[in-house]
Amino acid sequence: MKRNLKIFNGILFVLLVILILSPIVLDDQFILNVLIQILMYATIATAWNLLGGYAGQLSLGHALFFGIGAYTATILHINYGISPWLGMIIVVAVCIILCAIIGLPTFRLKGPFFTLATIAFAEVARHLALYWRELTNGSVGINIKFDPSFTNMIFQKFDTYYLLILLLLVVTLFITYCIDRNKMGYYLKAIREDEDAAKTLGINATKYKMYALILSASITGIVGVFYAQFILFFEPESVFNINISAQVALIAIVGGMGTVFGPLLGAFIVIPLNELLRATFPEIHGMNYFIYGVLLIVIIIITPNGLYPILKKLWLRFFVKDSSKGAGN
Amino acid sequence: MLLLQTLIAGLLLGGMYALISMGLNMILGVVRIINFAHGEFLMIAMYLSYLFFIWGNLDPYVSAILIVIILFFIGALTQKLLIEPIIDKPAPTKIFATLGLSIALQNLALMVFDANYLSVKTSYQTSVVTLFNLSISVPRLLAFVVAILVVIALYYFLQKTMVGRAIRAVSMQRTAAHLMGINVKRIYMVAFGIGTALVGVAGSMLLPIYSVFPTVGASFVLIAFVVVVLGGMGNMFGAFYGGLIIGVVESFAGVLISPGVKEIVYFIIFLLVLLIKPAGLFSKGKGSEEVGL
Amino acid sequence: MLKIENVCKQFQGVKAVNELSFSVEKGQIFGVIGPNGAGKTTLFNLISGSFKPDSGAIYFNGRNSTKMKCYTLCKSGIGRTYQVVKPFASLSVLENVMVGAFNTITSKEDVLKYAMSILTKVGLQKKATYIGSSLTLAEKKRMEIARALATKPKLLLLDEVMAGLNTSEVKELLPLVLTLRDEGMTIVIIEHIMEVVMTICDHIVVINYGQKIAEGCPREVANHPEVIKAYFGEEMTIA
Repeated sequence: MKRNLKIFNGILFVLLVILILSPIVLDDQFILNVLIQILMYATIATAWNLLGGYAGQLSLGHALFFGIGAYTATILHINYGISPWLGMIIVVAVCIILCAIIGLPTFRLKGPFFTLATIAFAEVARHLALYWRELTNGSVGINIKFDPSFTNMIFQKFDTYYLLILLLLVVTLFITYCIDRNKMGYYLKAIREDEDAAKTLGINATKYKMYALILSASITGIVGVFYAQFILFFEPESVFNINISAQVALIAIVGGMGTVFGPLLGAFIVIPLNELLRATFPEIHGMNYFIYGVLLIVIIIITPNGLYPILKKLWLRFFVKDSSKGAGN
Repeated sequence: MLLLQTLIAGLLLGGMYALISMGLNMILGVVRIINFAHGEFLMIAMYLSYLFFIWGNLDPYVSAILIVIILFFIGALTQKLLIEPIIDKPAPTKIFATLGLSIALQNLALMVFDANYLSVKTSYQTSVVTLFNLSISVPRLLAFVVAILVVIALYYFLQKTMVGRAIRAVSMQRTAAHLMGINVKRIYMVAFGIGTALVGVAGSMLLPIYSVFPTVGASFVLIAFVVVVLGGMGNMFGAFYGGLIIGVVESFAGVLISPGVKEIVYFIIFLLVLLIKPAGLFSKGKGSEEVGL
Repeated sequence: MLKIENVCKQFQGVKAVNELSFSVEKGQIFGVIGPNGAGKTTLFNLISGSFKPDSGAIYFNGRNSTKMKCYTLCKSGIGRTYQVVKPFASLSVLENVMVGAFNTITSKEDVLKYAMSILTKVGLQKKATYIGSSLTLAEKKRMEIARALATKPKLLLLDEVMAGLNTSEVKELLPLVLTLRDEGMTIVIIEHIMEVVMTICDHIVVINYGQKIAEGCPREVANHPEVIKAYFGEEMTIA
C-alpha cells in the first residue's frame, strides 16, 4: 500500500519534471503565461490548503494577504527604492503581524463564522485600499515602470518569471509534504476533526492553527509580491477581490483538501478550464465563473474530498492489482 | 437639522437592510445554514421586477406580489434540491455549496444581462414629501413602511399560526420537534421559502430606488451578514433592530466622515461584535455554539 | 494523586458541581457514580481542564492544576475519553492513536511503533487501517481508550466507556481496565452500570445534584441509605 502510493507520487514527480522542461522547449508566450498563472494559483491554493484543508479553518479572505503582498512590496519599491526581494521579507513580517491580529480573536469562532470573519477582514482591506488614495492611488491602481533588472524583480522574458514561481511552488509543496508526514500534519488534522478531543490529547490548538495561518498567509503574500512584479499593474479590485479568495478555495476543493498534491491538481484543472472557456466564449461574460459555480456545487456534493482521492483510488485499482483490500472506507 | 435628516435617511435605509437580514436570519435560525447565495436571490428579485416592468408594464409595487410568490418557490426548491442532500455534511460542504450557487447565479445574470446597470423610470421615483422641513423620498418611505408591515405580519405568523409555531419549535430544538411529529424537512422548505420571499419583498421595493446589476446582491448580503451578527444569529427581531442600526451608522458615517468609509465602518462593527459578543447585541445566548453550527 | 477541594461550577444558575471534595490515591480504580445529570461529566471536564471551576481547587500530583489548560494537563499526565465518542472521523484508527502518541514521542517511527503496540493492547490491531468513523461503538470506545493511553497518562479518566455496549463487549473491556491498574495507572471511571462499578472499583464516590452524598468501598456505598434514595427514590427505602 505504502509503496504504491510512492509510485503514484513518483508519477506526479515525473509530470513535474516534464513541466519544468516544456516551456524551454516550446518557448510559446501564451502557454508560458497560462502556466505562470496555473503555478501562481497552485502555490496560493497549496498555502490555503495548509489552513483550510489540514487545520479545517476555511478562509475566504486569502485575497487579503495576496493584496498586502502586492501593495506592500510595490509601495516600498516605488516610494523608498526597496528591492521587491527585500520586500518579500517585509511582506512576511507584515503578514505575521496581521495573522496575530486576525488569528487570536477569530480562532475562537467556529465553522462559518470564521469564514465570515475572514471575508470581513479582506473587505476592510479592499475598502481601505480604495479609500487611502495618498498611499495606494485608490481605484486608479499602481503602475510599475517596466525596468527589467534582477533587483527590480522585473524580467524581459516570461521564462524567468516561470522558473521563479515554479521554485516557490516546489518550496511550498515541500513544506506541505513535510508537515503532512510529521507531527504537525497529524495535529492539524486532529484539530480539524475535533478540536476538543485534540486539546485533551495534549495539542495546543491555538498555537498550531496560528502556525498554519502564518505559513499560509506568508506564502500567499510572497505570491502577491511576485504577481505585482509580473503583471506590473494592479488596483484594489484586482488583488483584494473576494473572487480571488473564492477561486483559491475552489482550486483546493476541486483537487482535494488536506492532501499534498490536491491543490496542484486543482489548479491544473480549474485555470486551463477558465482559459478555455474564456477563449471559447469570448463574447459571453461570466461564462467561466458560471461554470465554476456549477462545478463547485457538483464536486462538493459528489466528492467532498476532491478529485485527488478518486484518482488515487483509480490508480490503485488499475495499476496495482494485488493491493491489500479491505482497508475500510 | 442635518442630523435629523441623516437619522431618517439611515432608518429608511435600515428598513431594507432589516428585510434582507431577517430573511437570511430565518434560514440561519431554522435550517442552520449560512446562505451565501442570499444576495443573489435579491438580485433575481430585482431582475424579475425589472422584467415585469419592461415586458408587462407592471409597476414594481404591483409585481411585488408575484415576485414574493416566485421567490418563495425558488427558496423552497433550493432547500429541497441543494441543501437537503447536504444537511448533515460537514461545514465546508455547506459553505461551499451555497457559495457555488452564489457564484453561478451571479455570473448567470452577467451572461444574460451583461454588466449594465438597469433601472426603471416611474412617475413617483423622484417625488419627495416634506414633513417639518425634512424632505423624504417617497419610494424610500414606502419601502420602509412595507418593511415594517412585513415585520409585523411575520411576527403574527410566527406567534399565532400552526406553521409559524412549528418553525419556531424547529429552530429551538430540531430533534425534539421531529419527535413531536413535526415534518422537519417540510418546515425547512417553508422557512427557506419565507427567508427568500423576504428578499423578494426587498428586491421589489429596491428597484425604484437602486439600479440592478449582477453583483448588486453581493454588496447587500455582506451588510446582511453584519446585521445578522449584530442582531444575534437566528434572532429574527434582533435582525430587524440590527438592520436599522446599520442603516443609521452607514448614513452618519457617510455624512460625517466620507461616503467611502461607510463599508469600513460597518465591517469594523461586524468584526468587533463577532469577536466581543458573538451572540449579538440582542441575545442572552452563547452565539455560534447555541445555534449549533 | 488527584485532590478535589470544594470545587463549584455553575451553568446559567444551575449548580452542576457544588462544593465537591474527594481525593484519589495512586493505583486506584476510583468510581464516580450518580444519577443522570448529577454532574459527573462536568467533573471530568473540570479535572481535564476543559472547564475552569468557579471556586475551589484541583491538585494533580501535588501541583495546583486548577487554572491549567487542557493540553498542559495532558502533557503532565491526564488522559481522558468522552461519554459521547469523539473519533477523528476521517483519520485511520492507527492515525487516531498516533495523534495521542505524539504527546511524548517526537520521532515518527517510534510513534508508529508505540501506537501499534497500544492498538494491540486494546485489541484493535486488525482494524488499524480502518477509518475512525467506520468502527462500531464498542470499537470507537476502545479506540478512544487507546488514543488516551498513547499520551502515556498517569491518570486516566474514563467517561462511561461501558455505556451502550452489550454484555459480552463489557466483559471484553473489563480485563483491560484491570490490566492498566495493575501496570500502575490510576483510573477514575464514571459508570452507570452498577455491576461494573461494584466489581472493579477500589473506592467509590456517589454524587447527586453536584454534591457528594456518599463515599467508600463498593459495599459501604451500596448499602448507604442516601445512595439507595438517590437511585431508587424515597419509597424504596421504606419498602
